[in-house]
Amino acid sequence: MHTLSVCWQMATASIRGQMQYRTSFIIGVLSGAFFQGLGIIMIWAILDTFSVIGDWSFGEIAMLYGMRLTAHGVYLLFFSSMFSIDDLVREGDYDRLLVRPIHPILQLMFTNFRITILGDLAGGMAILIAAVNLVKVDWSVASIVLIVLAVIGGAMIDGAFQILPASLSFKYIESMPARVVFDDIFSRFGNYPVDIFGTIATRVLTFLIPLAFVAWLPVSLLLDKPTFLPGWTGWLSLPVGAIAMSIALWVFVRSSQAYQSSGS
Amino acid sequence: MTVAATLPTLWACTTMALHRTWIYRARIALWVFRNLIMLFSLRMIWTAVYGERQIMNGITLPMMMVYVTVAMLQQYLLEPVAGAEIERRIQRGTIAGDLIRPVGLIPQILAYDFGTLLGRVPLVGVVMPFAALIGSLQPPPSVGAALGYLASLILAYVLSALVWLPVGMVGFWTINVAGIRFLAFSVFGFVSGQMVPLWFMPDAIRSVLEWLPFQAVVFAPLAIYVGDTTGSDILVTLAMQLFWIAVMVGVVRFLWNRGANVIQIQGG
Repeated sequence: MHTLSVCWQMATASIRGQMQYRTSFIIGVLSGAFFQGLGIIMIWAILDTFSVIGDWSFGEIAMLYGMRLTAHGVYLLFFSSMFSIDDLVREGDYDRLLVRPIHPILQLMFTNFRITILGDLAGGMAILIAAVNLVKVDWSVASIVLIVLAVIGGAMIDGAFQILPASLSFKYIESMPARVVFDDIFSRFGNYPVDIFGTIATRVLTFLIPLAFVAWLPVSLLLDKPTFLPGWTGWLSLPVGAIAMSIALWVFVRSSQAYQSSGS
Repeated sequence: MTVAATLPTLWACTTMALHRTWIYRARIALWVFRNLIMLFSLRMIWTAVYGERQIMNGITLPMMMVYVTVAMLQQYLLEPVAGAEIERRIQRGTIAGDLIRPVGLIPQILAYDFGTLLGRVPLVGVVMPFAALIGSLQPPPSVGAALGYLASLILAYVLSALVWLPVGMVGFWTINVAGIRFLAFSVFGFVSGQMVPLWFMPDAIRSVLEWLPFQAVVFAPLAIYVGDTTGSDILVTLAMQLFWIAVMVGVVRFLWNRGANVIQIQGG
């Protein structure tokens, strides 16, 4: 309980800090939303000419896109500090996290609670909501629960595959290359029906890097589209995310024992 | 000082950049690897987009594969350095040293940009086989197209440097350009045809983009390469690129005249 209130205080302090720089805050939010908007405009431009990718219409792809982006936004809200993990380790600033009476992971999550991410998050939700009106779905309580669970699970899957490479930082000081490669994989392949990338890539992106569970499988279930897996696998985003996240956090904490407190 | 007398100084700027290009080999390898991932994703996306179709707006799928592959390779040569380099020098304050040299700042930056280009030419040779394997590489359909592409690529390089210089020059006034540059970079990917060629844009957007200089940097040479722009249209493309170069020289001169006096020298 005490931990919770400290986390809350860290988050609000962090938000207050960022709100001091109004212009920079507004530019940050806008450029996030803008950047994400551009991605969907690109897909719209292609589909204006070609009408479908595989057998997915623009509305259906937009739904996939919106779902992945919302999940990505939720992950960034809590774990954008992974961007600066290399600096924390190299400069020896990780020391400060170790001497405080709250778990370092929680401090990473809440002391760097980046509100400019709200631009990405709002962009993702706006696309998702717009897409809902473009597709035919029999709405029920179950389908809404499915979306919410998929977004939370998707955020954990996305986060796990940033935290895992970030843990390399403790031993090798630099984890940036590994992080950007995973970020590329999620953003290049995540916004499309995964099976267009071929059989091998589909298997890899389902069983090795479970990107398929972020949006493709749940949206396929929702839109009643066949995949190489049975439809109910669309419900597995949350458990897959929880497992991936647990492994990632365990590896991160284990790796942090190699931290040498260098600083220079 | 005569033009000839400035050449050794500028050449020094060029070789400096040339050497610098190959210092960060691991970074280059990462950059190449990321681009190959992108190339693979584009190849599969366009294959899915074409589906059963043979041709769309006069472009076949094999032409499109060559388009994305050559687009990636030429991007190594056209990737802007000039704008980012101005910003770096402003932020570190080293611009003070550049300003007292007997050669103007802009020529120094352009010479630096050229050195980076020279450093990257061998990179294209190294990446080419991988790109051919993951994407698809065919020579241009005719000797005329090959020569036209080469000429157009050279003009595209000059234009690219001139288009990105003003973005860095905003730093004369604001010091920090990172946000603007990031924004400009993502918009550029769309308006230049790097991500989606102009053939497949909705008509309204296409007719706007055709009247902007950005497609002259990426799309115009590629359209010659894959054989969509042919015959005398190649000359029209080259003339259009020259026109935009002239316009951008004017813009850069204007900004330099206004901005040279407001540069703040940071650090000490």
